[in-house]
Amino acid sequence: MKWNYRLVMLVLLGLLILNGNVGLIAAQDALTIQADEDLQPAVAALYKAFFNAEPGFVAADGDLVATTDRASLPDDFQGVPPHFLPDAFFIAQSERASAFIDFAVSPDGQQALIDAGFLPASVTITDQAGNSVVIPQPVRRVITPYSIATYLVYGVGAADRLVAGGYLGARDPIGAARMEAIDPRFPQLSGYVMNQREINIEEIANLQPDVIFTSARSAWLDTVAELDIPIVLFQGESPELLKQSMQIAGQVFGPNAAARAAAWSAYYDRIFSQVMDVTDDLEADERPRLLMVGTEALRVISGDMYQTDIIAAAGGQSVSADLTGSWNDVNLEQVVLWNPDVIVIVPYGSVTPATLVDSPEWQVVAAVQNGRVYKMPSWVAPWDTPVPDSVLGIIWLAQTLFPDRVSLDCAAEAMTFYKTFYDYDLPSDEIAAVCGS
Amino acid sequence: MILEARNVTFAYAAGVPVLRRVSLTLERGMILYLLGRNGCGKTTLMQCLSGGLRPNAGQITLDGRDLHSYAPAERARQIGLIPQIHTPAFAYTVREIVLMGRAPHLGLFGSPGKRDYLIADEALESVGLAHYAHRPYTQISGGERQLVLIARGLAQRCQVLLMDEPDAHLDLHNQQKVMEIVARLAGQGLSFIVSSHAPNNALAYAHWVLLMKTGRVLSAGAPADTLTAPLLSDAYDLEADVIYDGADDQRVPRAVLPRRRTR
Amino acid sequence: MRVVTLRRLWQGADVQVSGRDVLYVVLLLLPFALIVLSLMLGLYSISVENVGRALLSSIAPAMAESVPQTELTLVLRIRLPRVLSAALIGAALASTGVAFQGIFKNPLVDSNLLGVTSGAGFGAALALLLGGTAALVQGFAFGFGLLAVSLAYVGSRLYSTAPMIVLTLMGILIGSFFGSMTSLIKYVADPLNTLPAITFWLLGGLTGVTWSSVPSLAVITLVGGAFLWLVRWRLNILSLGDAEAVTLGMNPNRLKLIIIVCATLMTAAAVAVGGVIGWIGLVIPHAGRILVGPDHKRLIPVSLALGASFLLAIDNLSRALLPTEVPLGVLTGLVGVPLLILLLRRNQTGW
Repeated sequence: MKWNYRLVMLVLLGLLILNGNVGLIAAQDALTIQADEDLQPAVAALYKAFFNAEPGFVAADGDLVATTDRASLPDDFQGVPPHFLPDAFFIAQSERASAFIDFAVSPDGQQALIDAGFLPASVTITDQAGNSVVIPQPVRRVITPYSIATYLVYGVGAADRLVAGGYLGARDPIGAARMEAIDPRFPQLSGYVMNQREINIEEIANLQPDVIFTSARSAWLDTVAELDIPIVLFQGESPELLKQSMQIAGQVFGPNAAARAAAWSAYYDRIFSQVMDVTDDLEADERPRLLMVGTEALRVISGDMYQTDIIAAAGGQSVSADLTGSWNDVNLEQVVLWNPDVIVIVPYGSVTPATLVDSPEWQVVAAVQNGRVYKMPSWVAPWDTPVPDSVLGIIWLAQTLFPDRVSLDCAAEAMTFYKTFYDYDLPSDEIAAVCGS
Repeated sequence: MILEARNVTFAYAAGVPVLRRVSLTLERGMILYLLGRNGCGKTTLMQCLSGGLRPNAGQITLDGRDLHSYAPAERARQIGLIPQIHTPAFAYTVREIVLMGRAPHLGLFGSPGKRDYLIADEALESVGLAHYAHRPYTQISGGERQLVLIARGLAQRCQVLLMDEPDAHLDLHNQQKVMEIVARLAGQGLSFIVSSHAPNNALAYAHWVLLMKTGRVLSAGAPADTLTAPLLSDAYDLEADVIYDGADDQRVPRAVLPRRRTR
Repeated sequence: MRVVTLRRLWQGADVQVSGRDVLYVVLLLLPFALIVLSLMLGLYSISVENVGRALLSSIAPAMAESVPQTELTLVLRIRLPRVLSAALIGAALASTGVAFQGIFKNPLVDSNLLGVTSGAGFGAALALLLGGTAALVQGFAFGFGLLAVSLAYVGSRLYSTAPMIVLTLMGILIGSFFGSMTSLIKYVADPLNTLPAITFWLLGGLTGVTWSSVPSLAVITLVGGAFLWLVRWRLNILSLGDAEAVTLGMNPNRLKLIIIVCATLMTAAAVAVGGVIGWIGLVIPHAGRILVGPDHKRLIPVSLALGASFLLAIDNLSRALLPTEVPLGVLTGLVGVPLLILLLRRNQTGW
């Protein structure tokens, strides 16, 4: 009897140590770190916060490298190295370093660096409505009633700080399954009614967000302002504004997110310029006249929308560029008047190429006669909207319009994109079809 | 005899009877007055006689045939009801109102034709309102509306017209005008049952009076026999005097005067 | 206005026609003229000759030879079904408005009184939420429109007294219930995808009308309209109330029930194709009364014609003025209000 009692106590004690007291584990799992000299104090602060011990800095062969020198990244490195300070990142040299790196880029890591004076206690950003917003650091909880903003959070790698948000393209079972594969917390995060029109203020208060991402057109801004929670307004209806959106999202979540936003901007710029190399010199009459339709066959984009810009970048010209505002309802007579060469249907909604091709009324439109009616693909977030994924929309559009001239590999870029910015490997059996067949 | 009620008893669902064993007989060309206090059953009796309500017991016959064996339109071609003055929701012209009296003579999908317009105009003429044909009904006076409704009853071409308080809301001049026309039409063979709160008009125009109290017939007979001081006092729960006119052997009652209780 | 009585007209003497008679005939012919005119109008300019040839080509195929295929398609497949639908929907909404105002003795109601439009709106919103096709949206709108009125009717039968008042109350209750359900759907609808579709549908529009929606709409509207035309004079009597209708030898409740069924079918069919197009059922009856008086013998034909003409004119503005379609529900109010205020100056008699 007595023996058993002692055993149980021992096991319980062991569990307690394993679960609760990180410092005790540290003694066994101490890392050797090879850090730039000027980074050593910051790394020491992080190390102390995580292991409750002083780090052992080594000159070479450490478990972990902390540096500002991008040249020290391995040649085959893909993605964005984890930044614990602006311009300073870790390179893991052994598996043992990963828990520490995760800590370093987490809110707790940010907090340790703030306490030690290496990061500011708050950041002041100017949002896309021109408001100056002070955001205390670190941001641990964010809500994104504006669905577009949800994907900005994923894009900068801060999805673990989402507590609720709206999602685009995740309503149907396929979209939902894909989103859940990317983020297992998706069913829980999307389980709230919140959008630009409707929000439950008590629910918001209950979720205790540190910051709210939404659009300037949200109907409830004045009410939610009463909660005294910083609100960041986004408006990404052009490539420049989209890049600014990502940059702002990056600033809010600290150095690692900022680095990922910058990396995404660089990637976006590279793709953009590669496409523009092909399309920039096109004369007006070489640019296919393109009609992009939305959730209804006769609901078309306006010139104010992001879609118009990516059509232009991909070498087309939107026939509905003279319209203003958001989606516009037109009649078929107007479509016949435009007589587009190509019709592109957005990824969401129930309209399919067959809807138009099989309709006797649409037969007089050139695009239908030429069989050039396409549905834009997407993975989760629609590629036509101002979300990080729209870079793939540009590739797909350019290839659809100029299959012979654009040499980018849409499927490969999609794989790179989702791996880099969503930390997600596209299922190998779906890669071939991700850009449409 | 064209319309006869025998021992008519009526009660609204599971209630105290509103009419108890009421009998009356209406002859051709007769003006029959129904008198009595509010709630004595006059309106219910009128509705039973017009076919709107069905008695629980007793029988109403029209030309010797049970009233309820008539089809609605067939019945409406024999008995018309002239409601109290009302204001319809829409401003129909006087002639359009009168034309509605043709309804029982037209099929469901029918609408008035040449003959119906002639009948309507004739009816208007006989109440002296031919020149009002195109006036909106909502914009003429109460007396004129009452006359228009009588004209509608005429256009309905029935033998019996039931009138629901034709003297209500009318000044003396208009009451007289209406009743003179009624008397003239009765002279032409039309029969009237008039529910009224004006015993004086009954004295002047009625051939027969039914004095009612709490659903029963208190007294029935010629005006001079029923509108006596004791009966009126009983029927109306007050003390009343009847003023007579003429020599002793030919005394004619002319007016009913309730007595003032305090002075 | 009135030059001579009809009686003198029949007698053959002194044949003069009053201004009101001329107006009546002009109003009845107006929609037919407007249909022809509307076929000529559109963003895409097509010559009058080619419109005529395209129309005649359905009888004489040879007429189509010199007309470009695009113009043929636009005239026969786009403009014609849309113009016909506009005329039918306008006629249905206006005439059922008149019928409801008559049987409910209230000039301030329309055929939505018993909740048909609210039910149809919910049906359409539900179908859109489920990602349905145009046919499903139409079917749901029609079905839920009928369901709403049936619920109101069944609800009113639970009470034996004053059935019409209770029916009205039930209609209002069921209408608000479905209105709330629609709001609930809008609340959970995808703001990018479903919500704009629901909002646009609720504002009404004929953008997507093709031939496929015309047959059912035409059959229901023509049969229903014919019935209302036939019983139109009886509406005069129904509008005086049940008691008078009974003494005039009618069975008012049976006729009212048939008219309600008929008007509900017509409204549901109209709403299913055109969405919620407000105003017509309320304004056109009044305009009709101002023009030809309250007699339903003329008011029903005039409201059919005036409703058709009004919606044709409004839809022409919607489809041919700007590249973007303006929701019909918006235009009917914008154009209808000033028009009614203008007409009201002529109205001297009240309703």
